[in-house]
Amino acid sequence: MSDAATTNEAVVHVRSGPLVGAVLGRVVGMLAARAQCPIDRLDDAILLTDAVAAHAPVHARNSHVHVVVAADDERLELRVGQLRPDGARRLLADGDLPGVGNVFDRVADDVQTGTGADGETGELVLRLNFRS
Amino acid sequence: MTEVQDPQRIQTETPDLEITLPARAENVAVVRHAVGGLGEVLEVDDQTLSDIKLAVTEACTNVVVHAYPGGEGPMGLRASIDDRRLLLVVTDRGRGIVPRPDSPGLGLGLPLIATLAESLELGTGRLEETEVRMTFDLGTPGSTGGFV
Repeated sequence: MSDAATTNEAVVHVRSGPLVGAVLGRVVGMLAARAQCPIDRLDDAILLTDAVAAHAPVHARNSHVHVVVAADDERLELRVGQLRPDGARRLLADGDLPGVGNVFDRVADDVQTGTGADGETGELVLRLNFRS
Repeated sequence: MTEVQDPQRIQTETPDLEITLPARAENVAVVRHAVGGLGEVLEVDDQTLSDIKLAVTEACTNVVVHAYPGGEGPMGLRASIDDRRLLLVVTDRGRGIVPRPDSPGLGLGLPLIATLAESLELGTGRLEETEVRMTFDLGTPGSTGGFV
């Protein structure tokens, strides 16, 4: 996500609750569609978004969920930030589904946990490649 | 358009929703779609939601067309909800709202917003952003969705 000319990036900061899924899903869907995301990967992107919307509020540092959505011709990236220090790892763990495995690991091509640019808050990064 | 006694009242320190993205034509639809999600959760009736989306579309289009001549910059939307009243603020960091004799538009955007919204304010925010502030009366909740 380094080529600014072709990357589209939305920063979404939304109060925890029903707004998260309703708004985030629409933003991710629009950016992915604009980036010519294949339809099967669009489904995957919405699946990841739903999982983030369902579990991120519990691990957010404050009352809002913060997600940076970036899309280009090759991939979609979700950076779920401003989490509690251990929030990224816990959010990832919340993706475990009995008999299925971890939805983040299974659907995303790349999953990373770490800290945000401020060095204090947790961040979960999910990348979805459009081409295998 | 009805005068609101204190439009500032709705503004909270942290809006319920804040979206920032590049001021490109393609992203006007992204903001419009996000507002649709907001309306769905708030159980806004179809006519009111249509007015809100049209007003936001006009404000965002103004940002795309006028804010950054020859360049690109951020376009933002902040939404705050207070007791069935919605404050929407469309922001940019461009050159401000100034007369433009060479404008490619018809000059109907702001009058249209003023007609659709309960109140309209143009100004500058704390971060020296250009702001178009609109308030909407959401009426009574409809029969779909639910907002906690």
